[in-house]
Amino acid sequence: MRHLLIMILFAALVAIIFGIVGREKPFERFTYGAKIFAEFVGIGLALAWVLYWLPI
Amino acid sequence: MEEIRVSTEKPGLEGWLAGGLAWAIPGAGHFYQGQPVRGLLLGGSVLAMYVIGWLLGGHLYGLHNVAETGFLAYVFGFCDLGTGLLYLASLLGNIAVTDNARLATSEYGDRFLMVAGLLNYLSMLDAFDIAVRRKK
Repeated sequence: MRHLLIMILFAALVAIIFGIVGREKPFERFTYGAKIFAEFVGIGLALAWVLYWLPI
Repeated sequence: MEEIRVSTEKPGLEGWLAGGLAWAIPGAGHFYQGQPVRGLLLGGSVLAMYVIGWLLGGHLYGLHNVAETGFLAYVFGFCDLGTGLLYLASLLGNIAVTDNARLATSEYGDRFLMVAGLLNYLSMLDAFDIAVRRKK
């Protein structure tokens, strides 16, 4: 649980900065930041499940 | 399609000053240019990332003590250097310089500290671009 929270926090902070730097209009910033956040968390969770099935 | 502004002017002192300030103190480059909200969000995010990284047990890579990690330590050190005076003050004050490998979250902390620096480089470029009118 703690690891998931850390990942969400990381994604949120990166998304804020990418949103501000990557777009110029306020609404575009918000949607771009939200997209970055969703991608970070979504891909992170997907990778976690893929790795879960790998025998190590 | 987004408009791309190409400035043919040579960047003046203003651009270098804004960029330098943004590197030294996260967010300061935007404050200097009269964009306090942008500066607060950028600086606050970088600072939060730095503090979280430290609290998770991460450590900064110096540009000199590379014996254990090898060449990669230079790359990591460059990333960490992005946080400007925070990085230099931490090295001088012995804050977040010890490797806490026994902590489960220490690797996360290292990444937080590095990404804080990389994001501040982005913020620095943003401040520079605003000063030379490539961005609003």
